[in-house]
Amino acid sequence: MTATVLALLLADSRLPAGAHAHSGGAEQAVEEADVRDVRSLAAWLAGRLATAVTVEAHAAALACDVASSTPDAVRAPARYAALDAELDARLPSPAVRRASRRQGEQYLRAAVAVVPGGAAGRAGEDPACGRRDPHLCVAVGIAAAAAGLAPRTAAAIVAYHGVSSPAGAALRLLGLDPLEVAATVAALAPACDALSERAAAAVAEGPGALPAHGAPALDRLAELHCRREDRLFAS
Amino acid sequence: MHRDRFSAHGELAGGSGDAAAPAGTRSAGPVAASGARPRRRPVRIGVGGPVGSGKTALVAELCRSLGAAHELAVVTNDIYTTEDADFLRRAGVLDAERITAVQTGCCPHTAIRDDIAANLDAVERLERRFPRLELVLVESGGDNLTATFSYGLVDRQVFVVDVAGGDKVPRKGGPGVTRSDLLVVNKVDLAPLVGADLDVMARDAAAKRGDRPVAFVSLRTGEGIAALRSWVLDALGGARSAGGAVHAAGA
Repeated sequence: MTATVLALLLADSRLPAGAHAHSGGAEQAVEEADVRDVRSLAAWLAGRLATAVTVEAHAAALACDVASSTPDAVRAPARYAALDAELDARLPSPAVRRASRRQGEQYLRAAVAVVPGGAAGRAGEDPACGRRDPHLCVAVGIAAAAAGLAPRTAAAIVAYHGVSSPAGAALRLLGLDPLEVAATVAALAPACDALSERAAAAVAEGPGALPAHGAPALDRLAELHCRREDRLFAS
Repeated sequence: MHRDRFSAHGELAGGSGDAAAPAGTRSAGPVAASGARPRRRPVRIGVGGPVGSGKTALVAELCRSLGAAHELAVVTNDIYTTEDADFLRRAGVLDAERITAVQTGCCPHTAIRDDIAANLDAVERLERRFPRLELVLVESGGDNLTATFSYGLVDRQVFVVDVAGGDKVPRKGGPGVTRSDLLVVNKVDLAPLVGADLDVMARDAAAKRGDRPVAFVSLRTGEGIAALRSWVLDALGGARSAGGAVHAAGA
């Protein structure tokens, strides 16, 4: 497989990494009628991309850089730990952190199967990033590095996930027109690409310079959602 | 006449040899190349079938009758989150912490077949928490006749249909009816009330399934439960003796 195809595979929602069961807050947004049609979905996704996804895309680029530039087992854990701490500091909602780590664990398992060895590690080995459940964006960065992809591509995968996954959830919950939903995601592609560029360019600044765009509305949705008895999605 | 073979003496139709195939032969998980110490992992049995066919009641019955002698845990995949898990907890058939509910994002079949990540996660968490676990029952959310488990998630799968769903179901087939390791035709006590012909169901099931076993069960009257239980115990024993469930620690 060429790296391009591996990139497509790592971005594919059919990669068995658990994404289908997460709505990224969309289920609660539908419940509260923040998202009720394609138009409101588009606005909501743009907000998500400008805040939470921006932070995650930068972290993915950094993780990819750590994984590909720090092969030695001595320095890498400290660099991962620093990134992990910076991310935790930017995710005040415990529900958001849990969902991110849960998906990160599942994504890392998929990465170990799909691009074994190198940065992703092997089944049965301790993960190189020092924990079984890194944040999802970190796991994507590690998988991208293992596939020989650049930080920019890692950021693009996270940006794409960050809008397409909630869009898919909204489609299922509201019975939206799938063509219109796909077009909505496509309309955000230039913003996703620009974000990936910025994230790749910021890698040299290190984890302390991660953007800190808070998204209190998303945090609130996540906290309300995780307490619901009747939710269909895990987040 | 077919039906006599199925339930009259608590025996299952079809070759029991199929049911006793070593676990892991179709679900062989990765054995670590790194020399990590291998350990046995619990046998995993999937319980699937259409909505209302009695999956949860069947899981509860297995917990009740096997829970005292064997270390069990259950993972549920509800459409609405915790309904089945709550039922099992309320039924008191198993300690609450041995029951985990997984959310399936509107797609119960995806969660047990195409993307088993959340279920693997739940099973592995239970295995870490209860190191002596012998059996994990993974109950699917009620779905349709096309829903089946990935053998990456379970070693064996039971497909549960009920007579009230119509005696045509075995003839209609689908992967659950055709390929499951055990087909349970549940609620046979209702057959006279709904006009279901159990002989027809038995004949159609045999035509679709060849040697794969079928159990005619009524959880209400107790018919067929002994056969069901012994099939599960067979699956446990087969997996142990075959050594097919040897997996790498932490894999």
